[in-house]
Amino acid sequence: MNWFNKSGSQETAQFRELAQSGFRYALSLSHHHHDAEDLAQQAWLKLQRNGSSPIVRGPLFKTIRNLFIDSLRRKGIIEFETLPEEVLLAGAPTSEPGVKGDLDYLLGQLKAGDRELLYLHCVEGYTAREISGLVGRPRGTILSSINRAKSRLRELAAKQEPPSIPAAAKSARP
Amino acid sequence: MNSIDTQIKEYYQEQTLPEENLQSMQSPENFPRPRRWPWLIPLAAAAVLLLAIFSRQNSGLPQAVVAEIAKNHNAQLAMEIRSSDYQKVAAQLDRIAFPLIAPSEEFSRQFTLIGGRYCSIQTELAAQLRVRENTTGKIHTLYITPLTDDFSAVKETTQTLKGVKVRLWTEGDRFFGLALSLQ
Repeated sequence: MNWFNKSGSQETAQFRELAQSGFRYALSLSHHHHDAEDLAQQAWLKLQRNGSSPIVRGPLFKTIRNLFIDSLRRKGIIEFETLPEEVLLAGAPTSEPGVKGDLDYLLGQLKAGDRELLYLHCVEGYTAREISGLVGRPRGTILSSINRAKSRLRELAAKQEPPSIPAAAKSARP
Repeated sequence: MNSIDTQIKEYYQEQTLPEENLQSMQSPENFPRPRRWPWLIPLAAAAVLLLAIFSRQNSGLPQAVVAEIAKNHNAQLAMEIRSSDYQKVAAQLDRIAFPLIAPSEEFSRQFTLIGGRYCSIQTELAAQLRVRENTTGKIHTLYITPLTDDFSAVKETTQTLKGVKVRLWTEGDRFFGLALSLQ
């Protein structure tokens, strides 16, 4: 620790951690690096202008989300439709096998809302109830949407995998 | 293979906001705040003026303390006792009525005590300890004095004066100053 800049360095570390989280959340929504940078920066600017000090995670994420929805509306894209109440997948496995393939591509195939849920759940560690409070959807829907998004990722990964070649065929010579 | 949760976590944690964006977000001058209540400005100015009148005596205290510490640090007066043990130094400086220990365990890990002597800060009896930063070998001077009403009004600050960097802060019921020559 630098004893001549103790409080400053702590604040800087907190700021950087929060700004990176905001950016990653924006990336989960837009799945586009530059759009995510703009979203994170615009949200930060908006909160600063509104006099929010210090800026904290909840309002930052909400502002990023609202800005993202506004940008979709401007483009005429309706992606955040209200989903029907779905059956809660009780007893869903907590540790599932991973997926093979290009995760960047696979995540890009999901809907923004599904990527958002996966980010909040897997990266930020939010509970379904916390996510429900942020995105304004019932907890049961959140849980089933998360499981559905993971299943979708696995389906996409399976489609990407090349068909396995039997060992005998590999070693066979013409 | 990692679980899908771990894969997603690792994927996002690898994504980072570029440094230039962070810099521009952190600069407060980039974000001028709107003036919501312009009628408050004259009122606030009057309040500040009144406050300035009442706190006039203390307003220059941090600067005075920094100047005194910088001057003492540059003087490099001989130590009355040389020891790396705070207890031994405290035993020798027996006129010191407050606990003569390091500001924190972290400070103890980063600095090794060399010795100490009496001094005063703004007429308050203080301990002047010479310490060596373990990683750099640089010699610092640490000043410790009880937290009086005047000192408790001094906010944590770091200033440079006459080639000496001085940090002032409080821990518990003690007031600290740490000085380092920049050359």
